[in-house]
This record gives sequence, structure tokens and C-alpha cells, in this order.
Amino acid sequence: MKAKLSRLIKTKEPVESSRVTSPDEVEQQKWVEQGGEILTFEGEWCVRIHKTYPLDEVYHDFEFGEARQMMHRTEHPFFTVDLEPEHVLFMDTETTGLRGSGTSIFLIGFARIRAEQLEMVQYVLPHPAFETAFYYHFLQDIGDEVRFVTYNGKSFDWPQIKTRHTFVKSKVKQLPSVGHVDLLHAARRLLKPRLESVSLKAVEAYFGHGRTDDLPGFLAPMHYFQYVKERNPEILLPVLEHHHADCLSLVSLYTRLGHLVMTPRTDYGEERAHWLHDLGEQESALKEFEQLSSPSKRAVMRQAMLLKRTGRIEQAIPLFESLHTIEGYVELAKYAEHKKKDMALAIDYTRRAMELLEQKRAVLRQTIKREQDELEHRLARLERKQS
Amino acid sequence: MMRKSRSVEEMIQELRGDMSFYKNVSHWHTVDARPAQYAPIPEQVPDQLMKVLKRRGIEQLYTHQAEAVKQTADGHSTVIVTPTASGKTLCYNLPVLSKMIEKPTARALYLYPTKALAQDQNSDLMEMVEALEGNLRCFTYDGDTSPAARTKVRDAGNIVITNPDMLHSGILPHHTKWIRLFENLEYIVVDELHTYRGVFGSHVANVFRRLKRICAYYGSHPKWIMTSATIANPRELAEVLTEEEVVLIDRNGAPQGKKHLVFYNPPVVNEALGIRRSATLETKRIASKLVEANIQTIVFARSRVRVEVLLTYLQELTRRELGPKSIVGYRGGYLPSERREIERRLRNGEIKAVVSTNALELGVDIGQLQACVLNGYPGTVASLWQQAGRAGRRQSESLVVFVASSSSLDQLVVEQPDMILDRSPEAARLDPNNLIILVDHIKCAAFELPFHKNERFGTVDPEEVLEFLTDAHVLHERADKYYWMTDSFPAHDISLRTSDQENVVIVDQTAKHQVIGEMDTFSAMTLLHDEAIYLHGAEQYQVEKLDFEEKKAFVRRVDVDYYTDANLAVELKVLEENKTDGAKTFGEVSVIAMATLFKKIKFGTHENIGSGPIHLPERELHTTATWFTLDERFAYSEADLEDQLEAVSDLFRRLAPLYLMCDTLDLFTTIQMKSTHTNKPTVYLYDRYPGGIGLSEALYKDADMVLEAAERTVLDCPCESGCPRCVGIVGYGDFKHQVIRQLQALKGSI
Repeated sequence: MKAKLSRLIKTKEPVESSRVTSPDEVEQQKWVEQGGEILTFEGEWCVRIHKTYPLDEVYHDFEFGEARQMMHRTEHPFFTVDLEPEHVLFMDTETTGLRGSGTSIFLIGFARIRAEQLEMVQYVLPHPAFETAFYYHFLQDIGDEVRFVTYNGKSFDWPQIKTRHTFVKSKVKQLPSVGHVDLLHAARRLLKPRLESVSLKAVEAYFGHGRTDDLPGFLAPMHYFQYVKERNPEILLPVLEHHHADCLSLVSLYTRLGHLVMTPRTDYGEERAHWLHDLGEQESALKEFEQLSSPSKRAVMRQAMLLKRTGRIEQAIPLFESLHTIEGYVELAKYAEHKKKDMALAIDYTRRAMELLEQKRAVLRQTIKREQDELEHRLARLERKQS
Repeated sequence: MMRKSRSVEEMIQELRGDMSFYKNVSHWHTVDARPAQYAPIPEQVPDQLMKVLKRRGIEQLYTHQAEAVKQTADGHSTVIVTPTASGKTLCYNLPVLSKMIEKPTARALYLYPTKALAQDQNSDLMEMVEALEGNLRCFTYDGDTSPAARTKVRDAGNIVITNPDMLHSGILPHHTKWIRLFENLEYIVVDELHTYRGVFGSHVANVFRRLKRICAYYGSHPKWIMTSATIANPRELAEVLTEEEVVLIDRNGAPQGKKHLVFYNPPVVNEALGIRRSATLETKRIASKLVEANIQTIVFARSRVRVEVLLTYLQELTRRELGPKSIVGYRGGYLPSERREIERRLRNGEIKAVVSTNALELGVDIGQLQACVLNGYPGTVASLWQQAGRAGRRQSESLVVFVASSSSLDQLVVEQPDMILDRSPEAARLDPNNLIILVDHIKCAAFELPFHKNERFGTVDPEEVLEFLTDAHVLHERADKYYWMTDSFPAHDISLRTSDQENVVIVDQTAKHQVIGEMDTFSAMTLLHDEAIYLHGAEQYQVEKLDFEEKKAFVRRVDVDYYTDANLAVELKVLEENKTDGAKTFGEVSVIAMATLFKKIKFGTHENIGSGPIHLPERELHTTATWFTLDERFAYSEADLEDQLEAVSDLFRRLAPLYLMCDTLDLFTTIQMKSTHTNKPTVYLYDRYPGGIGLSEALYKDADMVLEAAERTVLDCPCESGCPRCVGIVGYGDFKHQVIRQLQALKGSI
């Protein structure tokens, strides 16, 4: 009886309060208290959180504004952007999983450089049922043509946005036309030999900005599921902070990696040279290779091959000679055979290559059939020609 | 010394005249040659396609092909019963290509039960498509498709060829990338429909529910074209799998050469014990005769071990041969590349004989062989006809020899072949609503698209499952919709093939570490335990270490004169009774299985020459079972009762699969002298899959048929007191009578 009574009395309390609020309204109020803005669309709603920073604020060693100059520099095609800075979004997402049509994005955000300040915007999906509002406002805000600066966004974030967009495409705008500066590629190029992992966190730490108290990325979905159940924005705060830091970090990392690539300095020279080589920038690559003080054998080989390909074989010869590698001797043998028509010399080079191969075989304890066959074939031809 | 080549017809004459062979033949059945029945190419086939057919020399169709075209054009889903070599691909390629010529945006999805089959069938279709000179494109999409090619398949493939596993984990969960396909899907082609039974079929039925759900979301309502081998219930199977109304086309118009079906019973070597000569040795003798006459032959054996044993024997014939072997083995567990190579060499005639498990029963294209030897009854009538169908070219006669083993089922078949010949083949069964399987696929479906509260999943109302998943925090409900709320990818954790996720990889460390095969974990318990002799390609390997945690078996090549055979100890507990009539009960049980010891068995004599323990963790299984209790009053002693129990269990184990169309491995038996549940001597038969797949339930329903067959087996056996081939053990006194009384009692109370 007592329990029943107390229950009756308890249930009376909310009725006595001034006004009945729906769970959605309660939740929206909480978001507003956290500095969020409620955006609605066709009965759905989402949250937008907006912050600004002065352009001369230094974050991870660089002023935000420096990124703007980097966009228009042309020394290295990877970092050049063909649109005005306000269309360049330093973008990142948080998702409920790693793949598949059922994995949804619950947080999209970006930093972008405006005339006077750096703007940081985050869009929160308060419930999976509200994706239309979420994408409607995100797409409305970013315009029809954008360039993304991301970390693995080209193969993860953007395809995932495309996937989810298909569910709401009848009600929202078309996706904009996009281009990507994916800093993961740059980080791989420049830092791979130096780092075990090239995750954003590891790269930040490498440059002296290790994060403390940061939420591990894999916990983000758990926080989101909990938030959806309890409708309490506070649960999502660590994720918002983590994501916020990621976006700002992209701005500085873009500037930093751009500098690394474009400022002639001794370190990273070799990585820079290889990258230019792979991009097909022959002359710039060659210049970089020439400046290396202690190049690796791979760099010397590439430099020599570039010289050979661009008609400067005479300059390449000393490089090939300095290598003492199988490939080097093969090139020398070709040169002796075809240019100098000196079969004895060509045979000598080929034999040296075969010696090296024999050593390699002894160390690896296995036959290297294809290389062996090629060399033997070459030797046989040379001996035939000689006689 | 090789004897001279002979034709099949000459060989058949010779066998008829050879008394040492003919005296053991219990029945010589011939199926007369059947002429082709033709029909004109239906008008629904467009001129363009008609021209292509004519260029390939096809002026008219077989009747079943023409009917398939007409029924499909009329908007019906169809299932076509097609024996081997009856031109089944035209049955679906014609309607599909006709549609695409008329409507170039149309798409079709082709499903083959395995990746291997999908690759085989592609070439024929490709030729037709090329000859059409249109913009039609067909692609295979499977685990081997490169990432670069995948985009092209998704966007441009008019015909996408794949398998159910890929549909389940690679296509449906990524449906947003396949919009073009799903928006324009007109036909779904399902080949080898009869393989979709049991656990696999139950899974696939649910994959089809998901497929239809996604199609509906994108606004398409495709029709189904299915082909099946001869089974009792093709239409029912098609309708259960697709939950659509289906038209059956089963009048086959393809011609067939004259077929000889010989039932061969090895001679008795011990009258008193009723022991016959080993079926394996007899199989070897007959197969050798055929191979020596240069007749291309396929030998079917029931188990992987048998395949390897027979292969070892037969390869003796070609010991001195150089280069690739002309007698080879074929079974699951060989690497795919190895199998492709064997199939190719079979087709071009380089291989003279192949020894196979039922792996070659499927539509793998190996061409038509001239003779077929069956080492033991394959378990089902449908399988028997399919295996026999491997022999038989259109123009010449073909020979099929069934060599009976001493098992009661084999003896039943060889002594009363009419039972097989007159009987319609078995029905294929599956249970799409097995709760465990259903929940798995509702999870996948919820990941693909949120469920609405009033939505159905196929014919099922999923609400209770959805609520259960919501309570388990897998889904989240708001505003009458259920949303996926975990960070996992459900299809990845669900395999369509067995309850066991991972296979055990077999690593040969004789020279350097090299993977030579794989095996499911359940089989590995009895075939890859420490010290087991594993046979692969007629090479013997000894298992040095089975790492059950890491799912790896390390083996080393050996040369010994024995093989191993392991025992499985089973402990069974009844969890719940669902229905009972006193003598038999159907319900849910928990089974704990453990491999305990193995025996070493000598080649040739098959005698037991030693044994050893097996140390492996036990495995628990919750499943359904039907159990029968015996009447203690019909036994003189405890020992008698135990023997009776063994006998009844043995009869069930051998006969039940015949009526349930399942492999003997799908339905297990175990006995308890004093059941912890009934307190009586009890025989249990349980499904080998978690949750059960309807086999023991079907057995509960059809028990009288099985009991009758068991009674007949015992009654008709010429032995006096019971022998291994009727009651499974050597009886004494009136033991046979005791067993019959138990069987009658079980039947009487039904």
C-alpha cells in the first residue's frame, strides 16, 4: 500500500510542473546549453556546433593562416588547390563502424579558412532516423564545389558519405564535385621509414604533439550508442573534442607537410625525390636526387635511370659504376654492348652481375630463377656476338 | 602389361560373359536409349538471338528448354528439372538474353552454389554474349575479383555471376554500391537448386529474404529461374527457398544413350558370420578392369579416407607412368587450383580415371565419362542417380556398377534394387525458420536497412526477434523503427556453410612449410588429431600436432601400411520435450561431443593393429532430437537389451538418411542404456547443427516408414540369428526376432 501510494505521488510530480516537454525538446535544450544550434528539416533535426579562431593563432607550431599560402604554392602538385580557400574543407567524420551500407556517420566536421578567421563546424546526427536533416544542412552549407583536406578521407570518409547519401538522395542536394588532398598519402611518403604507424596520432606525436586524455577512436561508436539511448549530449563530448582536435590538426599538418616537401632542406630530401619521381616530375626529381648528401642505392639507381632516360647516359655511367649492384652492372653491360660496342667489356659486367647474384643466392639459400635465366641469356648472346 | 583398348559396348558384353563377375550381380538393369524431343524455338526469342543460335547449329530446342522460355516470358518464376547433360544453361540464358535485347537496362543475377561452378559456367554464356555483338556485359563477382574490376561489375554488369556466400557478405551489406543492379533486376537465376538443403539451404532461404527486401527497397520485383537435379520436391523446395509461386518444368526432352545399371554384391567369404569380401577391394578390381580397357571411368567413394585408399590402389596400375598422373583423386580439401586442373584434364581426356567423393556430384563440368563405379550406396536415391549420371554420352552406351558394402542399407539396396529403381527420389528439406539462422539473418537485414515495426521478413513476423535484439543492445528502437546500433559487420561473423566458422588449415612441414589443404573443425576432431594418418593425393601424412586454438594441423609425410579411424564420445541431455506419443519423443537436447581414441587399421586386411588416445576439447551443441525408448520386457538380460539398443540405433543410423535426404553426417545417433531423461533404454537421433534443421523433426513425422524399412531389412536377411548387414552385429539365438519385436512395438504405439 505504501509503495503504491509513493508511486502515485511520484508520478504526480511532473504533471504539476509548468509544462510538458517532449524528449526531443529536452534533448535539444541540452544541446543548446552545450553551445549547439538546432537545425530542422521536414520534421527531423540535427545539431550544428560553430566555433572560430583567429588566423594568427598558433596550433601545433603553425599559424592557421599559413595554410592559406600553402594552397597556392605550385612547387609540389600534391598540395596545390585549384579553388579559393573558403572552398577547402579540412574534414573528418566519426562513424558507427568500418564498412558496409549499415555503417552510418554520426559526426561530420570541418575547419575552413575564412577572410578573417578560421571557422570550425561540426554536425551531429542526434539519431539515425534524422539523416535527411543531417545531410541536408551539411550539403547546403558546403556548396557545390569543394576540395577536401583529410586523413584517409579519399578512401574512407568520402565513400562513406556517398553510401549514406544514397538513402536520402531524393530529399537533399546532389553531392558536390570534389577533389582530395589526402594527407595520409603525404605522411606515408615522407614518414613511412621513420614510423611504425602513420596514424594521425603517431604523426602528431612524431612532431612533438602527443595527445593526452584523447578518446581512442575505436571507442567513439560506443559513446554514440550510449548517447542515442540516453539522449544526453554530455556522453558525446569526448568524441566531439577528439574530432575537433582532428580537424584542427589537419590544418597544421597540411602546412607542415607542405613545408617539408617544398623547402629545400637536408632531411626528407630522399623521400621528396622519390615522390617527385613517382609523380612523373622528372626534372624536379633529378634536381632533388642530385642534392642528396648520402643517397641510398635505390636513389642513385633512380637518379641514373632518369639521366639515362633523358638522354644523359654519360652522366649516368659513373653512378651505375658506383652502385656495385646487379641492376647497375646490367645497365653497364647494356651500355657497353649497344653504345660502345665493346663485347668484352659487356661480358665482364655481366659476369660481375652473376657473381653478385651467386652471393645473393648463397645468403638467401634459394634459387633466383628468373634473374639467373636473364643473365645467362644475356651472357650467351654477348659471347655469340663476340665470336 | 596393359591390355588392349575396348569400347564400352565390348566391355559390357565381356562382363556379361565373365562368370566370376556375373555370378555376384544381383540385378542388371538397363535404361533404354531415349530419343530427343524437340520443339520449335519460341517466338519470344528475338531474331538477333535466333541468328546466334542458328550459327551455333541450334535450329530447334528440347521441349523443356522451349517451355522454360515460354513460361518465363509469361512472367512466371520457374524451376526446371534437368539431369546431367540436358542443355540446362539454355533454359536460363535464353530468357535472360531475350529480355536484355528487348530492354537493354535489364539486369540479372546468376547464383551458383560454389565459386568453382560460377567460374565454369561463365564461358558458355560469354560466347553467346559475344556473338550477340551488343553492349551486354557479364562478369563474375567473387572473392577473387580485383578491387579495380569490382567497380566495373557493379556499374556495368548486365549479368552478375556469383555465389550465395558472396551475395550474403559482399553484395547485400554493400547494396548502396549496387543500386543499378537492384533497381533493374529482372531475373535471378539459381543453378543446382537441389544443393540448397539442410543448414546451407536454410541459410540461403534467409539470404533470399534479404535479397527480396533490398530489391523491394529499390523498386524491383525480379522473377526466378531455377534448375535442379531430380529430387522428389523441386517445386516445394523452390517455393520454400524463394517464397514465390513457382511453375515446375519437369518433362525433359534431351536424348540419352542406353544405360546399364549393375548391382554387384561382393561374394560371401564367411558363411557363418555373413561376411562378404571388402567392397573397396571389389571396387578396385572392377575399376582396374575398366581402366585397363582404356574406358574413362569415375569412381565414387563415400568418405575422403575411402577416396584416398582407392586412389592408392588404383595408382598402382600406372606406377611406371611418367609425367602427370592419368588416375587422380578429387575431393573437398584439395586446393581450388588443384581441382581446376583436374577438371580441365578430365574434359580433354588426359585423365583416364578419377576417384571422387560426392564433390563431383555437383554440376562441375568434367564432360561425360563412359563408366562409373560406386563404392557403396551414396546415401540418397537422388545422389545415386546424379553420380550414375556422370557416365553416359549421348551416342554410346554407358555402364554404372554399384558395389554394395556390408552395411544394412547397401545390402537392402543390392538385394531389393526395386526399392531404388521404383522409388521416387527423396525430398530436400530445410528449415528457414530455424531460430538461430533466422536471428543471424535478421541481424544482417537490420544492418542493411532499418526494420519498420510492421515489416515482415519474408513470411515471418520478426517483431519478437527485433525486440530481443533491442534488449541485447544490437538494435535501437525509435519511432517504430529498429536501427543497427553496434560497430560490427554482422555478415562477416555468419557463415552459410557450417556452424563452424573456421577451417583447420593443413600444413605440410616435410620440406618447407606448405599449406596442402583444409578441413572443417568438426571433421578435424576425428581426422586430424595428433598421430592421425591423413591421406592427401594418395600420399600419407602423419599429424604431428593439431593446434586446435589456432586451427592449424602440422603434418609430415610418412610411409606406413595403415590408416586411422577415430571414435567420438557423446553425452546427451534432454532440455525440453516438444511432442511425444509415448514410444517416441521430439524435443531439444544438449550434446557434448569429444574425440576419445583412435584405431590404426592395416591396409589390405583392414585389421586393427593398435590404438591411442585423443586429447581435444569437448564441443557442445544445442539442437533438436527425436528419441525412441525400447521395452525392457523383450530382453532376457541386460546384455541382450544393450545389443538390441545397438541394433535399433544402427538400423536408424543407416536407414533414416535414406528417407530424410541428408548426409549420414547431418544426423547423428547415440544410445543410453538407462536414459537420464526417460529412465529407459533410449536411442537418440539429433541434428548436427545448432538449433536443428528439421531432420529429427521430419523423422518424428515419418518414423513409421523408417521402422518398416528396418523391419524389412532384418526380416529379409537370409542369416539366421542376425549378422552385421542386418542388425549390425553378430546375433545369437532368436536375436533377430527380439529386434523385430522392438521395432514392431515402436511402430505399434505410433
